[in-house]
Amino acid sequence: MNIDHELRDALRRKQAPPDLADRVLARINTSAAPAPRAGHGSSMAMRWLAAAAIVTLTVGGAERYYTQQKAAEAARVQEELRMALQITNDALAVVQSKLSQPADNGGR
Amino acid sequence: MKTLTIVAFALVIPAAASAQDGRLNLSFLDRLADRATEKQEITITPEMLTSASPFVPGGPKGDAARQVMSELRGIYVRSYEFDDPKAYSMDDVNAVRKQLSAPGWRKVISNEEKGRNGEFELQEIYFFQSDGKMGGIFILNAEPGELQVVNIVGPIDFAKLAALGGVLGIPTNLPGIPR
Repeated sequence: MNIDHELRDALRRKQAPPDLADRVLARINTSAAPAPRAGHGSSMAMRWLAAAAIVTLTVGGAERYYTQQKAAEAARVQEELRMALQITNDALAVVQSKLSQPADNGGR
Repeated sequence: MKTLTIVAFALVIPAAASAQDGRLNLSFLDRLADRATEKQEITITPEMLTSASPFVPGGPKGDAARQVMSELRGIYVRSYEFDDPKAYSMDDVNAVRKQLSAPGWRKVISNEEKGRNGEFELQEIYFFQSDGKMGGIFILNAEPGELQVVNIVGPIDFAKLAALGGVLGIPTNLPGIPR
């Protein structure tokens, strides 16, 4: 066989195997799917923990703020109550003083 | 001329049942606030008393104070001092006193003095009773240049009120009231 025949035989069009397309597509799909990463589950847990911590801090802070507001309001009411009783005390003292004075029929 | 009237507590017969409570409308006095040189206007509602009650210190006095606070239905105080001794008139006072003609109110103490130059003094104490139970008190002290009005709503027990005063740091004796 001379060189011309060898070259013509090498370049001759050959029929592709019938399952070539399926095998190529299968290979593409296999390489496109992401490989499972190590530590994916622990990352999700960290996210949930972070969310839980934020919720806990928010609720705790709100509760603390609410308690402080209630205490401040209570202190204000107690101060007003103290003042109200003091004025009541003073008014009753005046009434007592007037009652203890002898009647003055001579006018003022 | 001074007129003094004391109605013995024993003569205060239980009033007929009334839907009204012992609260008076003190808003008629609001117009005096602008003229006053000193004023204290205190409005303590039942809700305020309820919210403050848990913060009262513990102990027997605290327990007594909490009980009083749970029973009271409100405390309303107006106290004014004026530079002008005629800054307010009897009409201003009467706007509030008119309400005391409602069923349930009984005058127990009254002291009235009128001067020649139109000045007047008036001290009065009224009790409100409903179904034979004390439901409120009204204290009025009107002097030239000075006006104090106190309306306490709810069952009044002066001994308990004194206990409340003790917890809040004011003198525990309430003068003028037999204990």
